[in-house]
Amino acid sequence: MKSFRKEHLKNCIRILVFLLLLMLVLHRAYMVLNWKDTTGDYLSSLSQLYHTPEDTIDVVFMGSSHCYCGVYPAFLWRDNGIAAFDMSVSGQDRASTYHMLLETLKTQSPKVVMVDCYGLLFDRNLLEGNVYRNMLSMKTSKNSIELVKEYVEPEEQLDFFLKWPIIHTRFWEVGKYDFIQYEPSIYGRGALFSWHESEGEEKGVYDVQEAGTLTDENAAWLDRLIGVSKEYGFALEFFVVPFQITEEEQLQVNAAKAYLEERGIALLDLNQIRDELKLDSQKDFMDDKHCNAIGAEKVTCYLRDYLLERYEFSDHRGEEAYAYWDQDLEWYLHCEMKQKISVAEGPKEQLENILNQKNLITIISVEGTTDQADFLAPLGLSNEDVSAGGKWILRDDKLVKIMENEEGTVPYIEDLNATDALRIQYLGEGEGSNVQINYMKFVSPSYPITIVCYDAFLKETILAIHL
Amino acid sequence: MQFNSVDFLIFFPIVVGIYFIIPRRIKYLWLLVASYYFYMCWNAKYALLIAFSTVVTYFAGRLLEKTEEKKKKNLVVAGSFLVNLGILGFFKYFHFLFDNLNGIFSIFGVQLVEPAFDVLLPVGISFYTFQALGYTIDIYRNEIKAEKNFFRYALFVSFFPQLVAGPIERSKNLLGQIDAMGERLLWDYQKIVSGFGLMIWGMFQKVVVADRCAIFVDAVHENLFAAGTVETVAAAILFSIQIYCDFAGYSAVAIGAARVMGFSLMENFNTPYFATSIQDFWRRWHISLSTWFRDYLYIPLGGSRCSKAKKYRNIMITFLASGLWHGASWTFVIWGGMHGLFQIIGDLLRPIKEKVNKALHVKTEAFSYTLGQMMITYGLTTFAWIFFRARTWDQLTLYFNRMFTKFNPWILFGGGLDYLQINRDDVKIVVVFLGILLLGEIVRYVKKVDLGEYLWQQNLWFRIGVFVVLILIILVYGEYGIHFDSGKFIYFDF
Repeated sequence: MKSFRKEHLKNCIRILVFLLLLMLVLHRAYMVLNWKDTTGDYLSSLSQLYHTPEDTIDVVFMGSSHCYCGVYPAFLWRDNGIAAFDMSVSGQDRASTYHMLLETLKTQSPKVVMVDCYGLLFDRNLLEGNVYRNMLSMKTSKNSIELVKEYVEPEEQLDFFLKWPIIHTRFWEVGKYDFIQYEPSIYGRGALFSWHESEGEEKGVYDVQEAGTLTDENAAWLDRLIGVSKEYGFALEFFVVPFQITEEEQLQVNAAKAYLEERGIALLDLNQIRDELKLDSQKDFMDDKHCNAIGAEKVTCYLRDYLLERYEFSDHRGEEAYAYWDQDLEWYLHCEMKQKISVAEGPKEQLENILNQKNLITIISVEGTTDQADFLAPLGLSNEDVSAGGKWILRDDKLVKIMENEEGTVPYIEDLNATDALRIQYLGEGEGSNVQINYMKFVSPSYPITIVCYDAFLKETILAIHL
Repeated sequence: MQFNSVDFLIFFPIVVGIYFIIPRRIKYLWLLVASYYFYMCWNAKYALLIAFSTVVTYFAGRLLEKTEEKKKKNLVVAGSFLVNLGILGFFKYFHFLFDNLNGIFSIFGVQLVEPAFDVLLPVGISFYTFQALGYTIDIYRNEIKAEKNFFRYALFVSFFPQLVAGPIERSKNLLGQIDAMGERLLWDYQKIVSGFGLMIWGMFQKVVVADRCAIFVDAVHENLFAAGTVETVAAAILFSIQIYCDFAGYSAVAIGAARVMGFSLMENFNTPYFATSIQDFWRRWHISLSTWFRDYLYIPLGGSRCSKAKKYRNIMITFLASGLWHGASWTFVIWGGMHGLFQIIGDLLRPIKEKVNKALHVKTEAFSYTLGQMMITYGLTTFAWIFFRARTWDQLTLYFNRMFTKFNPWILFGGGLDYLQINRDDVKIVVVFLGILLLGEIVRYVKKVDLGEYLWQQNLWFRIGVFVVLILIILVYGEYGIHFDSGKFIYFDF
């Protein structure tokens, strides 16, 4: 009997060890495969929300991609230290808006919530990618379950509750940011930065003044949000981020405006003041529905003034709890710099954009003779330096010579971050791998001067000049 | 509910957990309730059918035991067969019969009226019907005594691990174990571990290998108009693997699940593609069905203990019936008939083969000879599977047309298979998993024990490692759920 019990105990321990090991392995696999924003393509803002310290957000902007393309919290922070946040997801429909708002209110107490009205204009988001964005980012809770029940067809709901039946197929696209944290999905404030310009024609209809009939679903949605605002005690406002609206859509927006006015709630239709905003449908938009960064600055600055007229906000710049807003602004500035480099006319203009910038690592390689020494002067190289040749690194305004152009010199290797590595060496004049970041080789046999600029904030190479 | 579903992942541990806790005398009742619940998850109404079949065969068994007169016994057996095969025939073959009769009548210009209803095939009806009928015959032959406890008998018919896809159990085996539940050790750690291992292996075969092979096979069949020799041959090979892993995988889960609870079900698949003849193939493939047909049809017809002509007749009848059992379509019947024909031809050619081997000094004991036999047998069975997979005559003829008229080896290079929208990485993954499958089959063939048993014989850490890796492979690479497709992340439409 004793030996039976002993054997029984041993067996139970074996089973427990197996289960423990299995859980550990599956947990790790889940963390890798789990749906997450890895490059900005899957933007849903929830990851950023979950990382935000409690009760720091002043203003929440809710809506679809119109919102995260058209409203940049970075500008509100830059100008007035207002802690704004885009709680917006591509294809955020009525149900998703409501539940995302509830999710936000679990940890935040915003003074104002502004809801983009594009949710009035479509019933159900049919794009598979948008279903994933809206359904898979929320932490599992009663709220997330209710969202799935409202959003997803009954036969697919279990897959979304469990998530694993969907995300397990992500093994095809697993990349580095499935193993290490993609930092913008922590400090980003929900916006997507893009300078792409539209090539389409202007087809919007902006002069419709009549109001259509507000659908029952839309009225119910507005009432639902009003109910939440009363329960949680924040000011609720509605707005329309500029896009090329159709007549039918404008009628519905006008109907919503009238409905809200009866209830003492404002709807700021920015489509009606496009002239005042000086919006250009090609330069300020990336397509017929979304602002680009130029347009977003105009829209956001207008919203800033609008909000400051109606509410009081504290200036949180310098406060420790608001570090993510600083980082978000820095991210914007780096993206803007990268954009300017991409459209610069010539190397001189490109170089001007990187001078005196923080978080940049500039590698300068001079091999052979060149008459372009003057070009390198702003970087701190003298004519003698250029004549002698060699390899330098410019970092935080400090220029350091790494090596002479001598074969046999020990290569200089630096881990730029967890995924990127730099190697500088000399294997002969014009050898491509003399300056290399990961597997990208930069030196060209046809050009004596190579300038490579690696943005340590964006974690990517933003400039490569050959002269 | 399917074995590869979340429902089963919840159902099974609960059933097993309660099974081990409750008193012995009511364990069979608990399993009966669980089995009916399992079946009713498919379709609650069809539980009435299985219950009816159970009642009929139970009372037929009791009656057979009480009756001494042969004539009355025959009547009872005939009645049981009529009722059960009648139900099976109605649900499985109604539309088949109707379409064929319509075809015949239309020759004479008569069009039969299309029935207003659609007959749905109750899941597992082919399996439990045969299982119940086998019981009836065993009693008729005085091989077993009739079960007096109706609920124990009902459990025999409806035992959930093997209810919907076999193995088709014999009353001597399973019913005997159900009767002995009160006496034998049910909690057996070795059986739990080896049963669990077998379940995992079965899931791997089904969810990872079979369902992935199906992607390519289905793509070829849906695009036959554009396919050529390469795709059709590849699809035939992959279908042979798909159907094996689908079926054997399900059987493995069934046998493993039963073993966890202390039950020993009969082996259903034994490395069939390592068979060295068609006859050998049928000793390894769907063993429970082939032995059922052997014991209850082939042998009563006379088996091989008669003239050659009669023997061949018996083989053809048995295999045509087997083909028809598999599905209500002439392609299934032809498939069965082909296997019968292969065996007859094999039998006829045996003396010639022996003479040729002798004349050419062929080393028949050498591995190379065995390998050659395996390859020929595999080729024949794979060829026959083409008939099994093709749903209609038109598809069958198009398939062979494409196989023999459009030789296109270039399609293996330079993205030629892209028109099938098959991910190249998918192909690599399938190759890796086929390698694992082959390894498992070789272990089974050489060691002559199933994978569950084999893993039990290994050290604890190896066993745990294999379990964890297989479970991870199933959960990550299994074909289930919604296909996450990053290509669907079209930007900026909303």
